[in-house]
Order: sequence, then C-alpha cells, then structure tokens
Amino acid sequence: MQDAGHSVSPPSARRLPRPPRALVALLGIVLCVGLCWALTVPPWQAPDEIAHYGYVESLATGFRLPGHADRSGESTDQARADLATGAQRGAFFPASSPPSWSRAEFRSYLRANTRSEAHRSDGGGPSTAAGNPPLYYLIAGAGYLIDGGGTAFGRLYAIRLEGVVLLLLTALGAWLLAGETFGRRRLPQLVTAATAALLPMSSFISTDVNPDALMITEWTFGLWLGSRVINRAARTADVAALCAITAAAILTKSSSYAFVPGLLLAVILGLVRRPAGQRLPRIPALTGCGALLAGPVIAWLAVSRSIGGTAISQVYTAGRPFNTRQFLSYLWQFYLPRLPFMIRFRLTPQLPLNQIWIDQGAGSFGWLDVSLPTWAYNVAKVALGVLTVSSVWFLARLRGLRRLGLLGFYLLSLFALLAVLHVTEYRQTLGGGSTFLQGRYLLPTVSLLGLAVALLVSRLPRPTRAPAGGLVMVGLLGAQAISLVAIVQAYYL
Amino acid sequence: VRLRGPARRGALTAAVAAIVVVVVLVISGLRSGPVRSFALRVPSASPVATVRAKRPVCEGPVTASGQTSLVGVFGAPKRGLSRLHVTVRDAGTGDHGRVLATGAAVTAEVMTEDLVALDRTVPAGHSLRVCVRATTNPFVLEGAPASAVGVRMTGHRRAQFSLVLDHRASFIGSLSTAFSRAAVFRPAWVGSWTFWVLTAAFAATFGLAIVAVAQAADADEE
Repeated sequence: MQDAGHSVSPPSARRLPRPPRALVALLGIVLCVGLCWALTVPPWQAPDEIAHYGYVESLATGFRLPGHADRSGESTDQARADLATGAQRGAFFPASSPPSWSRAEFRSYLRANTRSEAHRSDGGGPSTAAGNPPLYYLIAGAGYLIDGGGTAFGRLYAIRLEGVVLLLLTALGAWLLAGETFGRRRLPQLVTAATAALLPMSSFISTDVNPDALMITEWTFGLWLGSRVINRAARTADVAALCAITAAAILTKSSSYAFVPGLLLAVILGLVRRPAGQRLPRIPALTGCGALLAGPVIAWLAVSRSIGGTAISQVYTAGRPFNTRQFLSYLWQFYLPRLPFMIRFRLTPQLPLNQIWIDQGAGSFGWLDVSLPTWAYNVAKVALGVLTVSSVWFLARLRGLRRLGLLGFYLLSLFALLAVLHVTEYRQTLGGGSTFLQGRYLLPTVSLLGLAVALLVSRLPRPTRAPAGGLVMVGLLGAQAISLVAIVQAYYL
Repeated sequence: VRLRGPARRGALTAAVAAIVVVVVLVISGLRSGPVRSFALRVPSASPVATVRAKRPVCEGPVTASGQTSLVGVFGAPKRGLSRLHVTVRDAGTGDHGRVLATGAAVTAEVMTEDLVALDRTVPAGHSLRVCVRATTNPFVLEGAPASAVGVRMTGHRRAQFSLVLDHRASFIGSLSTAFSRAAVFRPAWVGSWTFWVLTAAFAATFGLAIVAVAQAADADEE
C-alpha cells in the first residue's frame, strides 16, 4: 500500500491553477442572484416565454421544429398549465390580472395533470419563436428532460435554472474579456464581469426561457475570443474557437450574423500583427477555421429549407421597397429630435433612444409591464451619461495598433448589431408592424458596457480605484434589489 | 487576511455603501403600501362600461382572503377629471345589500389603476358586491370578456371590469404573504422557505461583494 506521504508526482504538478478569489466571490454572487430571478419571476411572465417554452417542448418531445400550420402553438399540457396560472391572460396586465396564487387552483391543476406524453407532444404549431434557429432550444431541452415526468412548472423552472449556468458563464466570459483588454488586472476584470452579469436586465433575460440568454453568453465569449485573436496574432486555435462560437451564436438567433464583420476584422488585425513573412502561410489554416463557421450555418440553412422553414427570420414589408432616405430619417428620429422638414417616423411616445435603449435596457421586466420607480431611470441616465462622456474622453487618447484594433473590433461588433436591429425594425414598419426593438436586444454587447465601466474605474487616481470598484459592486446589487422588489410587488402583493 | 491599503479602502467603501443601501431598502420597505387581498384576474385590456353619476356599475359577488381598505379599478375619465365613488356592499343580502364601506377619489385622464380608499375596513371572508359611479365626468371602466366564474357585472352579461381589493401593509411585513403566493405553481421542491433562503443569500451577496473588491484590489497590488 502506498504511503500517504509519498505521492507519485509532486503535488504542484497535479494541482489545477487556483481561480482568483475575486472571481470565485463574484460567481457566488451571480449564482445567488440568478437563482433569485429564475425562481421569483412567475411562470411564463417574460418576453415570449410561452412561445419559447413551446419550441423547447416541441423539440424535446418529438424532435420537431415548430411552425406546423395544422398544429397548436401550445401543447395540451402547456395550455392547461397556462390556463391554470392565468399566464397568457395576465401577460401585459400584472396589476389587474396577476398570475394565480391560489393553492386550491394549483391542487386542482395537479389532480388534472395526466403526465401524458401525448399531451406534451401535440404542440409545435405556429408561434412567434418558430423562425428562430434551434440551438438554444436544443440546449434548453436538457433542462426540460430533467423533469420530463413532472409538471409543466417543473420543466419550465428546470430550463430557467439552466439559465443560471448561462449567467455564470457570461460573468466568466466577461472576466476573461477584461483580462484580454486590460491585462490580468483583477479590479477591472471584476467590474466588467459584475456589470455584465449583475445588470438587472441581464440577470432577468439570462434566467428566462429565451434564446437571448444563450446569445448574451455567446457574444461575451465571442468578444473575448476576438480579443485573443487580435492580441495573439491570429493563432489557429483562437480563430477556430472564434468561428465556432460565431456559428453557435448564429444558430441561436439570426441577429448574430451581425457578429461576422467583427470576426473578419479580428482575424485581419490578428494577421496584420504577425511579421509580414508569416501572414500568407497562415491563410490556408485560417480558411479551414472558416469551415467551423460556414459548415454548421450552411447545414442549418439546408435543413431548414428542406423542411419548409425560413432559416433566416422573414420580415413582412408589404412589398414596399427599402428606401434609404426614409431609413436615414427613421434612424435620425430614433436617436435625435425630429427636424422640421422630416416626416414623422416615431414608433414610441418618447425619443426611442430614451424609451427603448435606455429605459428598457435599465429595467423593463415581465412582458415589458413591470417597471422600476422613475427615479431609478433618471439615475441610470445620469450614470450612462457619465460613462459615455468618460469613455469618449479616454478612448480618444488611445494609441497603438493593438489597442485601437481592440476598440475597432468592439465598436464594429456593437454597430453591426445596431445596424441589423435597425434595418429589421425599419423593414417591419414598412409592413405596418409596430415597434420591434426592445432594450434587451442590446444585451449581447453588455460586456462592452462592463468594459466601459472598468475603463472609467481603471483611469481614476490610484487611491480611488478600489473604492470606486466597491461602489460599482454595491450599486449593481442595489439595482438588483430594487428590481426584484418590483417583481415581487407586481406579481405577489 | 491582512489587506493592503487600496484593498482596505475598497472594502471599507463597499461596506459603508452596502450598509447605506441596506438601510435605505429597509426604511423604504417599512413604508405602507397597497397589498392585494383579492384580484378578479380580469385583464384591463379594453373598455367594457361607462359609469356616470346616475348610472353606477356593480360587480360581484367576490370574496377577499384578507381585509379590504382600498378598491382598485382600471380606466380613465372620458375627458378631464372625474370623481369616482365606490360602494362596497354585502353581496349575501341581495342586489341592494347592506353598505359595508364607501370611498371616493379624483382620477386623471390617464389609463391606469385608480385606488379608492374606503372609509371603513372590510374584514376578510365577506361576500362583496362593488359598485362604481362617477361624477364630474363619465368614467370608462376597463376590463375584458367575462372569465371569472360566478361573478356578474350589472348590465353586461359577457364582460367584467377589472377589480382589485387591497389593504395597506409594509413591503417587509408582507413578505411572508408574497413568498407563500410565489411558492404556488412551482416545482414540488419549492416552498415559501425557498424564498426566505434566497432572501438571506441575497443579503449575503453584499458581504461577498466586499470580499470580491478587497481580493481584486489586493491582487492588483501584488
């Protein structure tokens, strides 16, 4: 028998690197906050959660993409649970029609719950989620199957708890991203990761049944990998990983095509940072990496087309052509007050920049029907204003190819996402549709907001950096507390 | 753990900020606000009736699980301001049952929930009929096609107006109610206790935040 005191190899050789304590503490916070969100929000009281759950169920029970005209959007099992809790009836109206909290109604639902496989697999009809690619729903299916034999509520909350893992991964990805951007400086890393994961909307969306949850994580890792590609001069493994994560993002939500220009820029900048003689020989290997992006995407497009799907979400334009001048007018009126000669193109009562990006981004929960107190939005605007001005100030002084390259990659990723979203909304309005954009659609780039906060903290005078980091952390937790209180008041009091 | 100067400053600032945030949260949580004793669960989705001074609309019977000191109706005046008058009657004594409480409130021209404070608190468990009339200007009540079984709105068989019965209580004092409500329609392993544990864990995150900042600042000093 081997003596306990004599190991085969020295302990130091077998020991895994210890994670930074600040990261461990942050992940503990994120875990707790994620669980609060996942369990506190009532069933199906998140944007389109009814449709997204239906998609997961359709894949998990019959491996069938939804959208069949001859089927129902909700399975019998989901419809019963929905009716029992009043989820669909009360969506948008939590004040007058909060979800049921009657124990008698819940007992009645449990008695009637047949646990029949047939009642769970008869959904898969048309729904607002039917045009989405399947990756998120396949992954969420694992959560669904954990409680496959229980109630619809057990399955729904199992998927939501999977979202807590995604939120933890987002925090980790943002930590790594800040490591690439600022170097291994723990305070900026902590601030970036905390902002990305503890912004209330980020926690809310990540822990709901919604492909945006996975998209936030994928974009965060994509931004990190893109930074690695630039910093490490386009190493094959980094480029391959970047292509793979981009493909995953596209297979999660079509708006992730917006990440492709950033990917291309990152690879080009990475190549440029290599010595001139090493650039051309790298191209075949990098082209091979491109197969990791193109392969899955083309395969999905082919599969989707073969079964009559659309693969890329179609926007109804009523046959009206894209009018560049009108689009620019729409864009102007989204961000700035309308000029006298412009035709009114307003989709919201207030300036859309304010109402959609800022207010909804700061906190608009449930089916956009649970808001924060007015003062909280004003605080968010002031904080965002300070952040914007300081970021522009510091970024204008950036020098060096690597730093400017990183900045270009981040900005291109952000603006490409904005462009895709705005074009989609403009085209939708051509078809007579109402407002398409929501504050949460910018969440894939939430880690860039984290980087901006970290930049501000890291450029403060040295003695004030740690206190500023402390204020950011506590401020985020305060925002979490106010948001969770708003949820409890709206639905349960 | 011995912390260097910046880490100590960071931890101290975070600790002071955390105490301030927690104190503010507790103070605001002790303030009294409306808590639903009953909700008819009819969405305030569309206009269902217009009430005037001599044309009240009544709805019932409904039974609140807790006491009622506020009545919430949804809608807006047709124009300008309107004065809403609410009468809560005992539904057990017929259409013109004994008046248990009354109240009035001025409402503005915005579609929202209008809370009318009653002159007396109605105890829990009563079968109630709530009547609404409006003076100054007509008031448009919001509601939806009838969905609450056994509840009838006068003059409209197929519709019901949205109705909520509230009482006043502090947020912190109502947490046990909120958590017992939140535990319904959840997986079998979730109960009220889950939300108490989560509340305690959430409070502990402020401590973890202090640790995280101190460790990060300390590591940066190395």
